[in-house]
Amino acid sequence: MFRITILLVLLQINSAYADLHWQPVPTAPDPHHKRGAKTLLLTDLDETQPVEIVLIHSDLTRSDLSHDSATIQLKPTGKNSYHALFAQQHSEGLEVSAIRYIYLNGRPVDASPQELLNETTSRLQIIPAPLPREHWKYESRNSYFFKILFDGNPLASHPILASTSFGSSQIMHTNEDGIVTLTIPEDFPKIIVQRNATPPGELRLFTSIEADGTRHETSLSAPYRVSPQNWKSASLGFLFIGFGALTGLLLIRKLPAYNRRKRS
Amino acid sequence: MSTIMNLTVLRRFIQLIMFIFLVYGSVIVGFYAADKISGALPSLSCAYDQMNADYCALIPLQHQFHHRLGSAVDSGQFLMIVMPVFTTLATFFIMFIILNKAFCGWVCPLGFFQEVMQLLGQKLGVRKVDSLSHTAVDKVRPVKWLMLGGLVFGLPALTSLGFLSDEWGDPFCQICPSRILTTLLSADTDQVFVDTSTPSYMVLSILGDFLFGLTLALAMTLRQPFCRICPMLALHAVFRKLGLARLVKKGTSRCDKCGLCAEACPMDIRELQTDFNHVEKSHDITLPDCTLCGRCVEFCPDKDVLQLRYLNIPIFSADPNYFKKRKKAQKQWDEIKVVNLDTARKVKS
Repeated sequence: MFRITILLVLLQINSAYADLHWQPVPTAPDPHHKRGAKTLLLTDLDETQPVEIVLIHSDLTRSDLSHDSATIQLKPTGKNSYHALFAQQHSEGLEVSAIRYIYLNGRPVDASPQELLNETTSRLQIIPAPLPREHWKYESRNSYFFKILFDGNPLASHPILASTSFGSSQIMHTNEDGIVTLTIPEDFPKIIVQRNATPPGELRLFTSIEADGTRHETSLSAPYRVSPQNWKSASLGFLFIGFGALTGLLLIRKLPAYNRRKRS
Repeated sequence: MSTIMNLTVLRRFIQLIMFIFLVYGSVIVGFYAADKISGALPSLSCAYDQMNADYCALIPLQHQFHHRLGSAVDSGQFLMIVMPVFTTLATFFIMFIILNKAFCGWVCPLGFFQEVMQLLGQKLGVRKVDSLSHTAVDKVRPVKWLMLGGLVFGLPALTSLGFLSDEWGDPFCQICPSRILTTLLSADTDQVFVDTSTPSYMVLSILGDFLFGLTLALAMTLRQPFCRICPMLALHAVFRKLGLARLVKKGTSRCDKCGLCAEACPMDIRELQTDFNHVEKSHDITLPDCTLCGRCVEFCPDKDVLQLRYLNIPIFSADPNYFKKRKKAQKQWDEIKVVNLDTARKVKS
């Protein structure tokens, strides 16, 4: 209970601590699916402290992207699959980190996304379990799993705050395996009833823990899209499968049967 | 040969193993490994199925034409479409050269599912239509080429060039019964829908659902109804002379009168009986609609008239003793019925 209260105080009320997280900077749409740079902004950065930014490539090599600005241009790496964009700040008694997994296109790599997730970034980690496969996105109304680790060990009954760019928030608790189940709310202010027509929202997960006199805070951010259930009707789908089957059954009765053997 | 050990039983066993791997592959090889297999082998990727490990070359071909052709024409850089298509076809060839059209008869999960439905129909005593008329077969045969040319290449190309709206970028996948089947079998109902967002999506989704229902019902009485119009069959047919597996015939004068091979063929290939009779030399008769299932070889009563060959080495040959036992086994199997719903009419010759 104490930890929940602390989390609420720190994350929901306008606290002195920063809610460091990554968020995309919108760019013009690309009609031909070219692979341009992505621009990302590190939000709620403590300008008085140095920040360490690392891109962990899909083949697990690392690039140091640290610089003075909170905005970075993520250029194509030429490697396929997920990359992890990680930022961390240290100060007296506080360690703050933010991570975002970004899918880039390129040549196939040997390492799997699971190996990328196994890479240790900070002592406190929020890990998607699993990351969406290609063509699979976080969507409203659907449930997803995330694992909370501290020093590589799952944190049981640990609170985690989920918030969205449209103002929804909820506090959840991990189970005994350190896994939390999140159902993404349908909170888009305006839904355009067509795939990819509604701009995506931003999902942010925050959690924190005190250990060895240091406060550890971390965030995971990811885009989420409108549930296709808004324009896809499963019941109509099953109805038309039924029509098809019925037509087939009627055809079965009508089809004349021939013997394909040529009779001499 | 015992009554239950024959080529068809072996083929069904392999189909079952492949079905489990292709439909539930990610459970076996792991969630990310499945993604990696799909990514590394474009001939094995269905973007809609999250559980598979996976098996279709048609979606990358549609995507490459949809996403790359317009840009290539705009910029004059045709390598940007040639290279991905070449990569897809090259990886398709790896599998194709090894299996040839046996992919359809021994591996494809939709093909296996239709055979299971046919078995189910037979055990329920649903009316069995052994064959369509020659006229009907001749009318159905070109449809697979239209599916390949129109839905896999034509409409995605027209979409990419700006003649059609974006919904027509992967039209075959929108109507593919396998997309619905494999996702439903992994307890995912996301692919059963009517998309009301645009008229084009609505038409495509209704067609897809209807075709799935139709295939489901027709497969209970007519052998391999969807295989007959599948664009994968057409794609295989284009390159069938390159595969290592072949169906070979050295006909005799008796072939004209017999025709058991044509009767056994689930794809209504009557040319098995009529072509290459009275010949001295073996001929490759891996015809465009053949799925190399080997049933014609099993039911050929004359020694070595039909053979399945791999690298030109006979691996299974027609044999009178095998034929007798196989025919007896088939008769025993056909007699087993759970219920009898048969309302069959007199068969026309």
